[in-house]
Amino acid sequence: MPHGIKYIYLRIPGWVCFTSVFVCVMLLVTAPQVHARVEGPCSNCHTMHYSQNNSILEDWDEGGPHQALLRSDCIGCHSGNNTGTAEWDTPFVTSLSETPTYNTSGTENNTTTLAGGSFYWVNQAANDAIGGDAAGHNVAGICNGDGTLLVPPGFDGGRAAADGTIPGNGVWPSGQQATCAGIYGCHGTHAEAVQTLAIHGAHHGDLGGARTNPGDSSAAGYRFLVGIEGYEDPDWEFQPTAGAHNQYKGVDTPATIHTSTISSLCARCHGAYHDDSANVGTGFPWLRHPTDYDMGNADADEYRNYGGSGVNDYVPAVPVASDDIADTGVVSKVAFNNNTAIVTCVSCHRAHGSPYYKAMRWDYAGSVTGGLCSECHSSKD
Amino acid sequence: MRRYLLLGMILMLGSGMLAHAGDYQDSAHGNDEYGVNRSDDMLSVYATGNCAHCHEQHSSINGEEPRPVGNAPSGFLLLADGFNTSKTGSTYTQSDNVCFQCHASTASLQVNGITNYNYSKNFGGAPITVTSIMDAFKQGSYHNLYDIQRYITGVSGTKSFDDFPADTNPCSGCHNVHLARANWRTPGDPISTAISLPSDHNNLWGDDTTERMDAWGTSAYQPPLYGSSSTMLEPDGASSDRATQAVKTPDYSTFCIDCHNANDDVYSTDKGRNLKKFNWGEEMHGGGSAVDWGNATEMKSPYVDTSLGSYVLSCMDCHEPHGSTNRTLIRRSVNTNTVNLPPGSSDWDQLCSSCHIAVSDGNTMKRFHHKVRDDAGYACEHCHINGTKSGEMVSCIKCHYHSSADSFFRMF
Repeated sequence: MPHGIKYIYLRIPGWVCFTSVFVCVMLLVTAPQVHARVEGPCSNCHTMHYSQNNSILEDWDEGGPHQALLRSDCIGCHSGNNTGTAEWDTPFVTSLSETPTYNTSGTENNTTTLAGGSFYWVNQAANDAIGGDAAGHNVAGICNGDGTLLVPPGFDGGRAAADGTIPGNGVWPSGQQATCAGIYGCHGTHAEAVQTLAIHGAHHGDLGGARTNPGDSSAAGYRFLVGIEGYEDPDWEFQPTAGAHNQYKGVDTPATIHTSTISSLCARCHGAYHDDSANVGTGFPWLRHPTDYDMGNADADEYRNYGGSGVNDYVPAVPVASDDIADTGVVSKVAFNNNTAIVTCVSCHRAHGSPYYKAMRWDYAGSVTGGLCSECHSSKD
Repeated sequence: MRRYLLLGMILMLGSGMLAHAGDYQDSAHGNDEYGVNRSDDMLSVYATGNCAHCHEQHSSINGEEPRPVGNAPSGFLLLADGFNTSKTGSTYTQSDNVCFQCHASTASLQVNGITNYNYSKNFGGAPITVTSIMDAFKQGSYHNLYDIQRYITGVSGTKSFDDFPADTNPCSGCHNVHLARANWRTPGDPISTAISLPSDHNNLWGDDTTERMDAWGTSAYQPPLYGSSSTMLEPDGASSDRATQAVKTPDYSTFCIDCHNANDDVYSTDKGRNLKKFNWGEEMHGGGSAVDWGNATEMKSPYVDTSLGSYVLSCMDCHEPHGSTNRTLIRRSVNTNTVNLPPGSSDWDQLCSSCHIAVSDGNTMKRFHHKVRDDAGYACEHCHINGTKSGEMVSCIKCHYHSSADSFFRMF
């Protein structure tokens, strides 16, 4: 025992110990299997000294010590193969070895990618419209910078998040890669250059479910996205269905900037493609493809065939947003009179990446008809 | 049980393999071989026929605007502005109409360009006069695109349409670009029609059997002669049989009547007035009944006097749909006859004599018109210039034109 340190011993009655353990066990076995905040032993993610027996353990990433006493960086933890099994508890957004299964739209029964898709294909050589730089965000630490796009396309000085921070503080240096979080990232605040600080508190504080009052903290935001509302599918949209999926937040005001919608997240860096009459237009005929616009406003009947004429099931392959995010469940059938058919950026794109050109959710470029565009543009099949 | 299960699986697989190509894929623009394919390196990864060749979702690819660079996004997410609403005349340039960006004889944005001949060449076997749609509109007479846009969007005229919001491209008045098929590639197949009724924009016109010229009645439509043949008939010259050829022509008359009819005002900027209204159902070239006087042969092949009273012409038998060097969009070749009738000319006999005995056939024409004089009380000077017996005759058009009628006769 170290000299000079006083230790205080407490005698705890046995019945208190038993009761406490019993309660903890009951909580563990009865709590719903919600994949939200991280759980389990601290050593699953952290290492106090980045050293064990005077060396680095095999399942720690090299290059440490890492921020926040982590065993790895973002990708070190979030790379792997999504299995959907009971033991699987971490969303993998890329793979360093095994090719994820994506199929046509990333929503089929045997797909292994999640809602954001996968960065895997960004690291693969481009083959016509498959893979390569254009297959997703070229995030630092995952892949090299985009050989063509040195700044985010449509970056017009950046748009503010709910906490008032702007990507790059409004300036994007040429060649600067996007990061997972922080100044040039999507997750967390743009005020922090250190990525773990940018998402501080999120992993341990995320409650899952509907994020309707995100405020300006990472933990309260949908998927650690500051200010963004939405319902978090507990399985991160592993093989989603019409009744089991994320519910994205949207509003039916295409000409007005909002900070709570999933599209507004994209607009922070791709602002020229969003909002106001000069960029997008305020109605038909649009100048650019609208987002945060409910298809129920369109005169054309074709949009009302979304999800099948007269059926209108929610289509996970071509998701639409709603302005009402509830913890009671997701929209399984859309209507065209209650703001549940709102077009968003993620209606067409995967936030992280996909096999397809421009991170499209389906093979748009390789299809004569644009592929799943016809889910909404049903007369253009 | 196992046999039935296997049969069911085979049926399911078979039905799945009989995949139906949608309407767009059957269209000219959506064809995976010759469909839209914009010439720009940024678009090289996009399949032929893909939306991106006409529509730019973000007006940007790889951070730049593809050709043609307008430095601003365009309505309908198009590659260029739809139509220059200040262009009231025919001196069109590519930038005046988004369709001309590709449908032009030079500097077309379509990979390898597009060649579009006029109706007379494609369906009449006539010599080539123009090689692009833009050039067709730049001739002496043409469908004024400014007037068309104003008409279909309700800015002018009296007819209202459901499918043409403000800023609609005027070509959309007659063509649904996502449906229109490459009719010139198979001129004998009316299913490959390129047109949609303005009042029914979301359906093709002419692809159904009820939308052909023979819908006007049994033996009503006699296709004109084809090319330089004395027997073979339009639209493809494949047969001399009327019935065989008649079903190959879409009902262009009903199509044109959708705008040009007895009820609706259609304003013409070039003429400074509304176009004349007429009732095709009553005109003798249309639904009305001509009379065979029987005293002499008045019709030229393939038309026969004994069928006078039952014929219904297609508007395209005489007119080009886009433009012509002749006035009033009159075809340069009608029933194998070369017609030279430029704007300002009154030599209408050049057209009329394509099917009717020529005015130069003095005996026949004189006898017909003198009968009119006798029956209707016309004076000599109504037809003879200066009233002289041997003087020049007035132009046919003086009496014979759409909507012309006499108290005794329907003149046209």
